[in-house]
Parts: sequence; structure tokens; C-alpha cells
Amino acid sequence: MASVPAEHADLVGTPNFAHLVTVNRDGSPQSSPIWIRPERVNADGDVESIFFVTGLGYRKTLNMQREPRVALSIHGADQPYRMLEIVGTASLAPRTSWDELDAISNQYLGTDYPYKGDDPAGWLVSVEIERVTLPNDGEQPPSVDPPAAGSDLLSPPHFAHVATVSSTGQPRSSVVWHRRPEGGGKHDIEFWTSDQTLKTRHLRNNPAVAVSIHDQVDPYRYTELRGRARITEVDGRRMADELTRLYWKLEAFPMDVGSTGSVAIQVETTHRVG
Amino acid sequence: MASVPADFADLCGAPHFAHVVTVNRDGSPQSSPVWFRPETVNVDGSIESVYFSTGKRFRKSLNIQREPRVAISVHDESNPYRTLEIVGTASLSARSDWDDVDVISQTYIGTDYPGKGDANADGWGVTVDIERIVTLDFTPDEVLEPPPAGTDLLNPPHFAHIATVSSSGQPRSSVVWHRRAAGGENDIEFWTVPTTLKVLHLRRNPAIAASIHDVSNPYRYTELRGSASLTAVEGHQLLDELTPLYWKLDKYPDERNDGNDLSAGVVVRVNTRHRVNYGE
Repeated sequence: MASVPAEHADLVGTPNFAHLVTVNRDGSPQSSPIWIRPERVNADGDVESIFFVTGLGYRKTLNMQREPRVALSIHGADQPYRMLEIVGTASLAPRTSWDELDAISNQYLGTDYPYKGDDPAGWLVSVEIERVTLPNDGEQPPSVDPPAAGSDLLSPPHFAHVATVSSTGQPRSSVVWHRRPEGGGKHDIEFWTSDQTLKTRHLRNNPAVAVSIHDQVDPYRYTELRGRARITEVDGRRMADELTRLYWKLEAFPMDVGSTGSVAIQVETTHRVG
Repeated sequence: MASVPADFADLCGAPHFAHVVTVNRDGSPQSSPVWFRPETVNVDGSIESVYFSTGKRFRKSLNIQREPRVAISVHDESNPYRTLEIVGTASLSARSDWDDVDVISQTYIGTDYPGKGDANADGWGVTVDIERIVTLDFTPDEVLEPPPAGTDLLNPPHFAHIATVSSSGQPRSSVVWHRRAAGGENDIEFWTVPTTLKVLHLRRNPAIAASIHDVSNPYRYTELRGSASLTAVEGHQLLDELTPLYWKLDKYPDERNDGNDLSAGVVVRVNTRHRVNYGE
């Protein structure tokens, strides 16, 4: 037997997701993230077993009924390099109430389980901890910032609706290809257009620009940018070809583009909503 | 006055989104996607005005009360190279129930508007009289498909939980840094020292699974199943390349070795046969 030492018990007692491994019939592993909660804690605060709940027909349930040996790994949500690996044996008991799930839900959501159906039928799974590994323990270098929600929409293959306002105050909107500019701000985009388009003329006069971009696959996911436009003369042929490769299965833009008469417009974003 | 010709009339409503531009007090534009529908339709099928609904205190409606000139752009959800730009004048009519909103919601999602909550039903119906239009219709031969949902999780800065099984059938799980491997849509690769348990397992049983949750939103995750191929390498170049994507460092600090020799390693490639994505 083994236990999660008290000084690491928070890794199984706070809203960190555990990744549970079970063994399929063919001997291959299956891994999925789950909610867990400490079950038996000794007088020193060491966690000797954990529990979780699962449904009736899930693959991991069927796997554990055949092969009770399981493994779990956890990394801290706030400190991803605080890690824990657990090897243990699962035992399953039929679940007859929502009490256990409510207890787990309170650990993760701070409320009772909000998605209850009519019937709590399922399994309560206890894992007796047999081995614990604590890799990479100790102080870690500072992590990079995770990507902000919706920041993928700033890159191809989505379409940006670019809004400009004329000198007389008339707004316009048009659709462009866009990408993140090299060396630009975190939420900047750039697009290619002719130096004679309405939007270029508007922006030379009034650089205020707004952009909205919705996900090509899920239009209910979108982002909005506000900022100022910076206009640069560019080799239009080159930029058109580069963007073509990001949007089409072609190596070069199939229409006539001179190397002059084009501009790159960089949206220097001052505000983005996810 | 102008109208949207009949052959572009289908763009004036579900399932397409109107990106509506209004003008802020400081003269800058504001753009956001909205649901809309045709309002005045001629007998020839052309459209003279479109309609959308908005809240009482939304910036759009405040802007329109001050400056009724607006612009709309739409792209066809099934061919984004078919587009419609509208310039027009907006007029507001007060609404005090959800009827209009429900009608439009039915056309987009097939049900009444689900987002009412406790919100007050008071709002504005906005009619845009069309004054100028620009259309583009162009069908490219071959378009790159957007990557399937969850593809971003196959790259840093997320963490892969790697599952392997020993020769005696004991499963193990451990956490690694990973990135997408070239040449496979859902393949990932990671570096490890040759003496780790997972390498010992995989040399006998190459069956491998991985689960990866979004570091910012653990309810969004993806699971991989497949087989591992192992390549012995000198040094730890992959680890060095991954380091700046996870830590604010240029390369891996060699002194962080947990007592392991980092002068040789194994690159494990997960050749994914099956990937499932969960959550939004």
C-alpha cells in the first residue's frame, strides 16, 4: 500500500482533473480526464484511496470490471509542474443516490451536481492507492501565458469582417483574408488589399478600425477587435501568394496582382473581446 | 435606394450572420455578428430592407440613435467567397416582447430564443433600408478546410497524459510536453529519457493512449488512441525546442534533470488511429 503524502493531498482535493487509464480488452490503454475526490485519509493527512463516479455503459467501466488495475496522473491547474502519478486497484459498487456525485461536484464547481437526470444509476469507483510517483517536484521556471480564448480566430482559415468609417462618417464593412503579423501585438492581425479600395481610402483618412471574426465551423464562437490601422506599401504578389497558401490548396494567387499598388493593413488592436 | 438582387437574397438571413457596423461617438467603427432576416421583399425576390433585433442598452442601439448610417457584410457559410456588403440607414422600433426574437431564432437554431434568462424583453427592432450593395461571387477550386475542433490541443502549451501498459498488464499514466508531429493529422511527439517506464512499456507493447485538456478550460479535452514509434536520439533537441513554448526560457535548463542523463533520449511519436474531441 501507498498514499499521497499530506503535502501533495491538495492535488487530489482541489479542482484538478485526473486522467484515468484503464486497459481495453485487446491490452491497449484508454485515457480520459475525470473528476476525483479523496476517500480515505489517515490521521497524518495522507490520502490512501480516492473515488469517482461513472455511468453504466462507459468503456472505462467495462474495462475496470474486467481488469481492476488502473493508473491516474494529475497536474496542478495553477502549477502544472506539480504532478502526481498513481497506480491502484479499482473496486466498483452500484450507485443508488446522488450524494457521492454531489460531494465531488462541490469540490470542482462549488455546488451540487447541476446536470442530474432522473436516475442516479451508475457506479461508484474506489481506487486503493498502491504506488505514488512525484516527478518534477520543486520550483519551476515561469510558464508562458496560455493562449487567450478565441485567439485562434486571428489566424487563417477564418474570415475577418473589417469595418471602417469614411471622412463623411459613413461606415462600411467588407470581408478579408487575414493572419497574425510577424512581430505584431498579441491581438493584431494584418490583411492585404489594393491601395485604391474604399477601406484603404477610409483608413488613410480615419485609422479607426473594427473587426469581427466568427469561427468557420462554429459561428457562435467569435471575436471582436478595435484598434488603429497601420498601412504599409508591400509587394502585393508576394503577400497574396503567402495568404493563398494559408486559405487555398494552391501555391500562388491565381489572379493578376502587380507587385505595386498593394498595401498590408495591420490592425493594431487596442481591445479584443473573446 | 437599392436592393439586394434575388440571386443574393438567400444571404439575408439564416444560416448566415450579418456583421453589423455602427459608428461610435468618437467616430470609430464597431462591428459584431448578429442574426437577421429579410424585411421588405419585392415580387421579383429582391430585398429592400433587412431586420435584426438588439437590446435596449447595447452599444449598437445607442450608436444607431445618434448615427443611423450603418453597414453590413455577410459571407455565405458554405462558400465564404460569396459575399454581400450593404450600406444603409437604420431605424429603430421599440419591442416589448420576445416574439420577433423567437421568429429569427427559429430560422437559425430551430427553437425559440434560448438566451432570455431573466432579461427584460424590452429592446429594439432594427430595420435597415438598403441604399447601396456590393456583391462578390467566386467559387475557388480547392479550399483548405478549417482544422477539426481540438486540433490546437495537440500543440503547446497543453500537457499530454500518456497511458501505457506493462508486459504484465499494469497501466501507467504520466505527463509530458508535446507537439504535433509532421505528416499526421492527429499525431503528436514528445521527448523522454530512455529509461522511463513508458519507454520500457512501449518497447514491448506499442499500444498508447493520450488525453489532453485545455490548460485554460479543463472541460475542453481530446483523447487519442494509436501506436507508438520510438526513435533513439542524441541529446534533447526536441526538449529544447519545446521549452520556450512552455517556459519563459530559450532552451531547456540542463541542470533540471531529476538525476537523469539528458545526453541521449527517445522521441516517442503517437501514430493516432482515432481522436475524439469533447467540450467547447
